[in-house]
Amino acid sequence: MATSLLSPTATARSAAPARAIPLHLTAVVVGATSILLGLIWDISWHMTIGRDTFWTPAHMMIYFGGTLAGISCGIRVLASSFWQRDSHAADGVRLWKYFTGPVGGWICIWGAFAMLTSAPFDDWWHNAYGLDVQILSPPHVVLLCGLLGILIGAQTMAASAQNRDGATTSRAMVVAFASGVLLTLAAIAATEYSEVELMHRTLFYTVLGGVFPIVLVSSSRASRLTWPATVTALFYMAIMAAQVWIFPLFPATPKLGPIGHEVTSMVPMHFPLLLVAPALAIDLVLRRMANRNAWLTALVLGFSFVAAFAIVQWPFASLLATEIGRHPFFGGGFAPYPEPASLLVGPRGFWTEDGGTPAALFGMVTWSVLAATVSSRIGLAWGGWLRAVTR
Amino acid sequence: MSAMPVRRRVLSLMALVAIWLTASAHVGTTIVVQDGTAGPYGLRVLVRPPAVIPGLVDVVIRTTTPNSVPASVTLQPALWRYGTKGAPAPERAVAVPGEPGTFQTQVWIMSAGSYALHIAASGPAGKGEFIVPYTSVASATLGMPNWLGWALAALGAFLVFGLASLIGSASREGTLAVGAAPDRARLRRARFATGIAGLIAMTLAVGGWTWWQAVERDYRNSLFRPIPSEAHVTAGPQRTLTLHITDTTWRLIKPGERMRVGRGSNMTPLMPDHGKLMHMFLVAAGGTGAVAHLHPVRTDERTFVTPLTAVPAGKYWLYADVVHESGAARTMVDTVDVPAGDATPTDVDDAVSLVPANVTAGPATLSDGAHFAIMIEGTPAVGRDVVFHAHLTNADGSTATLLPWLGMAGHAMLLRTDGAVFMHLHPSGTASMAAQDRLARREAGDTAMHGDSQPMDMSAMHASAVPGDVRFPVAFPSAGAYRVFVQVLTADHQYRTAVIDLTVP
Repeated sequence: MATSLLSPTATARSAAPARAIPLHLTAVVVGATSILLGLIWDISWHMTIGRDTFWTPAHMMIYFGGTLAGISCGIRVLASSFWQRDSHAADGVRLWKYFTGPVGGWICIWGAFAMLTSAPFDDWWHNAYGLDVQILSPPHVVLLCGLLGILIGAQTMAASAQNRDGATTSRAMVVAFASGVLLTLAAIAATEYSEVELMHRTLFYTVLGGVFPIVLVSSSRASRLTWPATVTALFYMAIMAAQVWIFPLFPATPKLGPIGHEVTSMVPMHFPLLLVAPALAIDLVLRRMANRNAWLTALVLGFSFVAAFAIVQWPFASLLATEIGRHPFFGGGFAPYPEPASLLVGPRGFWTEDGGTPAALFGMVTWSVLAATVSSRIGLAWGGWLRAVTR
Repeated sequence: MSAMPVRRRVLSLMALVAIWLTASAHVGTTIVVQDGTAGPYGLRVLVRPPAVIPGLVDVVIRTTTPNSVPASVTLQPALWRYGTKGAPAPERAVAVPGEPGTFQTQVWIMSAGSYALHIAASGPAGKGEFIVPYTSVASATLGMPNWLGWALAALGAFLVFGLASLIGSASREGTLAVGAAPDRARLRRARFATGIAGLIAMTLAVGGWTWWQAVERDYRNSLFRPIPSEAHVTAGPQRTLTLHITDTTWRLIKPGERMRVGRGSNMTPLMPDHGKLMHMFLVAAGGTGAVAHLHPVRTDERTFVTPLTAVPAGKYWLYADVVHESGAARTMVDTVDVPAGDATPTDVDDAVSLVPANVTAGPATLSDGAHFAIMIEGTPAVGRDVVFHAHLTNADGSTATLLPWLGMAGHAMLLRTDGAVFMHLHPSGTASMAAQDRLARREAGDTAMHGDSQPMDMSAMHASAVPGDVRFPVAFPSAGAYRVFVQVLTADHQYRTAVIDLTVP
């Protein structure tokens, strides 16, 4: 029954008995998940409470995730380089002559190291320029690179376990899950471009068309599930929907001012984008175009992504813009504490720069398909490598 | 206006720049010491500002009524446009161990602008509250210590190097079957990948560095500076000082116009502070010499004019205090060359002292035999509050009688002798009382219409006499040599001025 989730092309490469999921892979995936959930919690914290210290639980989750991934990979590298050299030296990649370890492990260690570097930098930054009110600052980008490193490391390590030890459902599912975590991080990074007011605009489809296909296409290529990108998108939607429903259950009030409107509970991030539709389209396209020219495939993927995404997201945005969008189910009734209360009453208008003329529509299609095509091409390359990685 | 020789103009400009470097509302500091009563409790509030905004202000609250000490004191900072409705819940101040009746806390100030610090006290004797105005500004940048700079550079280089190496290793062996060795083509590809990855990582690092420098530049541009203005004095029988605000963004709201908020939030109309739209202080450069406390009249949106009586010719430091309707206090700074001349005074509240009496060890003896003493209560230290206690006795030893001047028993000025710190002090403290009143009315929802308070007739404020015993609470923002001027108005309608010099370690 379980194997029915697997793609018919999936074949076990090795008959060697292996753990279902290696211990260090479990640690890294748990670490990556902890980082992602901590990050979402931290963003909600800043939208609701404002004031924070090093010791908030959200920060602890992020650091725990980074530490867990960094240390477990470090131990694994030391083991295969030195005391378990005989059994593991041949299944890792060599770095700086003396060290051997899994590729994903190296990426995680790099990520943990970048996180570590950002800490004193960020501390100095706060003292020099005041409490950080913006998400994107140089030390935060160093931190984000570190988080991204650990998440990509987890995806790589999951893919290599699946490719080397045999593509069981659970191993393929771990690849899709790690990709889902990565997809969610990408969605968080693109939050500023994901406002409901922007959802009828060229910018929205172009930016998101540039961001999401990399992850969805690479997941579709890498994971041996039957519907890998679809499952990846479902993981993302489940995580983001859950935070919309869970955060408001916890009472909280702002501890910084000025406060623009009354906030009584934790403020969630946006309702998830309906990425399951374009993900399904990507899976379908890749099934039919497995061995075609990569750029041609990317073009078809890019067009399919934009078409499938727009067909569901455009009317859904119209729904979110009404009072229904403010229902707790969709979470549109919440805003960060500095925002004025006027933001939370009345219908939300769409910011359109071009009024829906045929020329504007043509521009929208051209730019978004172009961005999604380039993104898909990178996704194909990365996914192809993930499909082949064995170490 | 351009009569001033270019060389002297350049010199005075350089002096001005030197003053700017450390300047802020009041000059050189936004530190506040303010006395108030919260119900049955007398409290002295010391506000130590952060150098960067957003940042933490440190607030110390001392009880000045030993027989009536509150059990609990809270502090709530409210930005003027929002009031307490838009402020986080009040923060409880912690009792300072070993100092009964003293409380301390730190609160976040997120914006530059006029804040009302709501101080509330409660205890067995009852409860009450009052407002301390505080104008927040970003005043400094923080350098990076050498060791941190090198450490970050090393860590950054290691990250770039590490990324390039690991991409090289991954492309060399990542997709090889377990146990297989890379062939020559793979080795070549790996070297290529290492190079490209290194280049990309270095480009990103350089991009990050450029971004950082841009942030630094923007931050420096946002640092507080006194609003640019230019003062000049015309010689002649009616010698006149004109202060012209040259800043191009200086535009006040006219009736019927919408008030600008946000960046222009300090640019609300001016309002009088104890009856005067501007309090201007002229101090002979260096601080030793004549001192004048004048009240120029506004002739248009940008121009303030006053006759200049008595002061001898020479170079003067000029400090001009104004208060906006938001409660933000602002000081304009210039250096001005005063030519010889005189003028008929037009404002009875103007006080000029040619040779202030110098108080050293004991009281100074004035020309009519009266004695002017200034005592310092407390030990002067950076960031600590002290009190200057002025005591004026008649020739026969009895305490002199003072007339209230602009509604209070006296005025004082604190000047660092390099001119970089200047504060105008009242017996109630360093904050503007007009700002305090306006913030309280705004909080109560009373009218806060633009321009509803304009200069008034101050003669009523000269009515009842007070004893010649005046205290000025203050705190020093930085170390250095200071000179404090105390001015009072005696019953014979004479302004008396005394100075005391001290060094803050």
